[in-house]
Amino acid sequence: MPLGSFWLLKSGMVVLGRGIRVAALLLISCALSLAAAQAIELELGFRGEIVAGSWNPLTLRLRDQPPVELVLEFDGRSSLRQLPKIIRYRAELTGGNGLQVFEDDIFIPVWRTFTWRVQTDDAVLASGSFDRRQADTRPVHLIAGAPVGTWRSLFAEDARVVEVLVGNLPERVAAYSGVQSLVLDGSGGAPRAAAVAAATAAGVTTLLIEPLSPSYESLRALASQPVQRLGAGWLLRASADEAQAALQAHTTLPQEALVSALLTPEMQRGVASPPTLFLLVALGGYALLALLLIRFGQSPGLLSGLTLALVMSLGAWLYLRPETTTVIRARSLSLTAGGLAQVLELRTIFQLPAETVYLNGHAHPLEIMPYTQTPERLELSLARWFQVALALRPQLETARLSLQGGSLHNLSEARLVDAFVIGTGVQPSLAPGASANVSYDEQRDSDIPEVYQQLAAYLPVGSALARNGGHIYVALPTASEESIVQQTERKGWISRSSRTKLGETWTGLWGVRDRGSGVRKSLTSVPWHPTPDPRSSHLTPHSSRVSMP
Amino acid sequence: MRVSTRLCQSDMLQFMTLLLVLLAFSLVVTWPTQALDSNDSWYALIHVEALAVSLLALGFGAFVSVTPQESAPATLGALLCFVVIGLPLTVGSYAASFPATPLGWSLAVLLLEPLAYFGIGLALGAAFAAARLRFLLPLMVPLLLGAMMMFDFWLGVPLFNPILGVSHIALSHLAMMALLSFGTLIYLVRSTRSREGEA
Repeated sequence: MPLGSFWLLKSGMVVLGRGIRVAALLLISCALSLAAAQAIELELGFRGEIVAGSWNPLTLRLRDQPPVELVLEFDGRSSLRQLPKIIRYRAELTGGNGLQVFEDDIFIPVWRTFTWRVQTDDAVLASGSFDRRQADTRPVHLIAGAPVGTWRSLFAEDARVVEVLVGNLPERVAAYSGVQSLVLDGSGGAPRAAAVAAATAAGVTTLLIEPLSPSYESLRALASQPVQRLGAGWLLRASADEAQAALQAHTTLPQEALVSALLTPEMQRGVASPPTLFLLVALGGYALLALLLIRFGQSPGLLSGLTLALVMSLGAWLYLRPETTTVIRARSLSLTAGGLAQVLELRTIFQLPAETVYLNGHAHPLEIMPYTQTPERLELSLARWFQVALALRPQLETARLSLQGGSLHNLSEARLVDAFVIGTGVQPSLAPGASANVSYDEQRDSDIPEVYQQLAAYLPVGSALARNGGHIYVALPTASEESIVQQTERKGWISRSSRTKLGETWTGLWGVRDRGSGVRKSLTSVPWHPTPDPRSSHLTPHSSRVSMP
Repeated sequence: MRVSTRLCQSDMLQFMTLLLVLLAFSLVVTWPTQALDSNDSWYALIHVEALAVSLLALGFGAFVSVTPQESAPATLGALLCFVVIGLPLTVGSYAASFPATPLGWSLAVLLLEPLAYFGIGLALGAAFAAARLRFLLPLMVPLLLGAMMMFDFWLGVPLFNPILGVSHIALSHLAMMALLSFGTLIYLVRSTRSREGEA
């Protein structure tokens, strides 16, 4: 072979070999990237449906990953004219061999930009973003087990309906903050009762469509009645024909409005400074004394004046410096029914010096501002003399106040004061463990205590409120209790009702005395459901003042 | 002359009274009346005090040239006493206002500024005395202070501005004031020793 051809062939083989090697390297790196991406999976909301302006469940799955950090960043500003308001969520994850699942419930604001990444110190292993148009504040409706199309007609055309797996329903109350209803039709297996209880207590209208499969036995025990309240939500049983009407008849409470209603003027009170007149008198006295000492005291007078200045400085510091530079006030609202309660808590922080404040737990400011949230705590950089209101992540607890059979029951270990039932009026205070019949007393004014005034607008009639300090407990009424109190709202006085038994239904004839003329007139009969003791009623027959619609 | 004797003189007493009235006025006017209002009284008070003390130091330093030399150290001592007498107002307003600037910084600058400006005043007075233009000193004192502040704005670095230096951490201002104070003290010590030597 000629030498030139030999060299040409050899160089060609070298080039070809290099090309093959480069291609092989590219293929390997692509495969590794794909494998890395599949080994890291982030899910937000329910099947990726995020409810902006609400708490959403977060699930991160890691497979065979080193220690990583999950970072979510939101720009919460509403207009490009504003400076960026960066909200961060950071979670340090240990990683390791096998599958690791990290779950949390995070508040996702209405965002302008939303990015996430999973990173180590050296590299970003996975990342992504959500478009601004995906920031949808409408609540979602969950259909568990069945295809979406099966029950899509129960909801409005523009409703956000999401199909979820029954086994994927979280058991955390906060995860359901953006959920309006949950439909279970018995297909796809039975969900965990804890998940259904958590969803309902969170304020979701949970509908069990009958007939239910035998696997739903545990839920039958939970949903003992066709219509019942559990926590802040409704737990309903209905047939397919009645499903839509049942959903529409039982709506959720406006929880954002309830949290905002906790922000009373007392919660926003600042730090009072000494009156100006006192300041003027003190300054005048000091100045006069100092000048006299210096004028007439010569050297000893000067020394005395300087000493007086130092002593007055110390006194001014001790008197004018507040004991606490961070004033935190808290108020909680417990929405109770069926033995469970959803707790909504509001905290205000009045920060005097500019400082970074750390709070344990999860919370979000009512007004968008930059902050950093980790699984353990919230980090807020507050300016000097700044006030911020924070809504904490909803929690689940056992009921401390209940309304059953026309009686209020204090299930807590503290005395509950300012008891009030919307639609009937002020009730007596309750000692720990005590009970009292809901009473209508014309001597007690139906004026609602000031602390409940903003809340009452968002609570159904018949709700019982009581408080222990800053903890407000609301026992939500059943559907029958609510309708009866609504129907008996008239101006005037309700006199003792007479009850007669007509077959299996008790009816009441309410006598009403007009306040102006004093003429007594009767209303139409008001039916209510049979109670175990027909002689007891949730409405103790006293005369009471009620309002005219 | 002793500091106490210098302070008893009517001009010093009057200026001290005026300074206390100015400080009290700025404090009372900016004191919050509502609980939610932020207390910004310290900012107003410290700026008024820094400007007033610097102006007084500059003026007294300039007019030392028309008074017996031995009153210069006493006058400087009296000016420093002004700062100490005003301390309750400074510290009290700081306690209620929670500014970001450390209190120690503000007090240190507040004590250095009279020293520094007194030295500048001495130089100004000596220069105008040599030029037989002492009658211009009442005009030149505020003009010079204003010019130094404008120079800072033009330079973009706080060197002479007493208002900025007392309420913000500016190492350049602290260094300049320390340097001028050191120079002033050296000058006063030397001039005192030379007078004692002559005596």
